[in-house]
Amino acid sequence: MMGGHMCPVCGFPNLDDPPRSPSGGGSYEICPSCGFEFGVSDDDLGFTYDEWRERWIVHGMRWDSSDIEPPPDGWDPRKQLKAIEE
Amino acid sequence: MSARLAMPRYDWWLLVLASLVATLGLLLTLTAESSAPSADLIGLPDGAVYGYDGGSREYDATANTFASVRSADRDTKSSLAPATQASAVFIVSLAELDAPRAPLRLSVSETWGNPNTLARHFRDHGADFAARNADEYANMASDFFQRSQLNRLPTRIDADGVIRVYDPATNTFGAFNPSGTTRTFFTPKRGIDYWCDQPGTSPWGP
Repeated sequence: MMGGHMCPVCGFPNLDDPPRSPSGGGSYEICPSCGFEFGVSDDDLGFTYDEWRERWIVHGMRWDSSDIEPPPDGWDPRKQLKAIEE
Repeated sequence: MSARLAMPRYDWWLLVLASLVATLGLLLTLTAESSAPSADLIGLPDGAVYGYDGGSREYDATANTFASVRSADRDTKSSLAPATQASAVFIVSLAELDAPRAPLRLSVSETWGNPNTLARHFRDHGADFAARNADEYANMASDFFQRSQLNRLPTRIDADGVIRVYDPATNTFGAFNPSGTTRTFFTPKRGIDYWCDQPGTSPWGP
């Protein structure tokens, strides 16, 4: 996870691709932190970034990929969210 | 399987007869060797080009086989009228040569674009296809892409080269990199409406 693109939903800083391409299409990358799939969670399931973020917060801001890989060392979802606010 | 052809080059009826014999010989050979289209025809002039709906094959007298005509040569050779060629040119119906074949089975590392994302995509979308594991899911995506292009399913390519494909019969959607590797593969909840919102233009024309 070295892409360095920030998730606009949860602030995770290391998406591999920009969430949206210049042509407008989703990247189809699934954020390992909040589980949002760009181009699917929004375009198909109808969630806005705010709605998904709210849902993620309500569910405890859990690392969404815990069944696949552990979170990065020192992962702090609250710090991530601050990046969104900024 | 051999088919002997002795044909005056400018006799139309013999040309038709020879074409039928050649067709039969090719089909019988392809039945036995469907993976590598080739034929063992005897008596054909070197360089004879068989045009058929879907492509053409050039006869190599040395190897006694047919090979695809290089695209750079195809237009020139296929435009030559049969009766004016020193080497006989057959127009035969050999659609079977390019009939849909089984998809290439490539390794998952060759077909999935970003290996870091496969497990998450399988977790979220594998059930759409009853895939039992991530590799099977990735293989299904690759098969879908290959079949979609053979069957000219609805396809859109955006300005970034991302290829999106939709099968309305099965409500299956896939997005693929310009190299053909998979980005995502799932069944959209919005069905055809989701497809209609996708960016890009069709390579098949309007």
